[in-house]
Amino acid sequence: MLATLLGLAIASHSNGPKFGYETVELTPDDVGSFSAIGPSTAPSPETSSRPGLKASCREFPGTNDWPSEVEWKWLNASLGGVLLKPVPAAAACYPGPYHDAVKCTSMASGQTISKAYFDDPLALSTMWTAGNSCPVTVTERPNGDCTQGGFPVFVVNATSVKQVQIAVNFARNRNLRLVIK
Amino acid sequence: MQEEYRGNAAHVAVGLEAWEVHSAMAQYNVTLVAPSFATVGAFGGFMAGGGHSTLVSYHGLGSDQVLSLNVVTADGSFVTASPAVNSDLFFALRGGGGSKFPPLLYLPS
Repeated sequence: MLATLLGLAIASHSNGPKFGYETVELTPDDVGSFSAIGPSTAPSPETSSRPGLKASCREFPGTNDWPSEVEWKWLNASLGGVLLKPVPAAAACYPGPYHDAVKCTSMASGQTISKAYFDDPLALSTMWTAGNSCPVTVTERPNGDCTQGGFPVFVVNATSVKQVQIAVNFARNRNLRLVIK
Repeated sequence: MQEEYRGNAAHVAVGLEAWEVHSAMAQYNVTLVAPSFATVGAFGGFMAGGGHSTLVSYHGLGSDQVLSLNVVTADGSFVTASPAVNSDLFFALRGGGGSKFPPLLYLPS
């Protein structure tokens, strides 16, 4: 989900040129009153007021402190609308609202090739390396099911430094697990 | 003391796989030390973990090529890491292994 730009510059000292996306940084005006996307204001998880919970435990959907729908909407607004909520690509192979036989067949033929997942917001390479909670299957009535499993629930399609900063801050301040593709 | 480097440098984004870097090298007629295997992240894990390639006898490791890094750190700040500024972060990112901070781009020679 990081930008994939390549530029060439001739530089003779360390203050080099910057890509356009590097010049858009997070400012206090951007944060406003939505402090979760700014520098740390809350105590760190190590000093959390939740007794009995290890500092290494993160929030996930269903925990008390998982961000609310409203907060996810605010986050999306602060990011300029690039917050995604993707399902695993192989959901196309299972009955339900994402079923797509054509997509499933094309996935089945390319599923061992990591380039097939290059642009998929959830998958790092092939699907099985991430726990295989939604395996590609071409049978009409699959035996197993397709779940989000360990895949991220939300994805920030970041193309600027500011969006990366917001994502890092939000994950840190709200004690969420952050993975980077 | 270290001499200041003068010469060609490239400004490169992370998030590129090696095959993309190879294409850009052909397009711009430059040589960058990049992974030999096409789908390895060129300036992610390759640079962060050392960076062995077929050019190591001539040019050294991938992490040896870096002049400076622009990084978003875990506290949300966007900083430059170089021998002059944030030099401990610069040291850690070149060979200290991936899954630490997300560097956004850098200038290899």
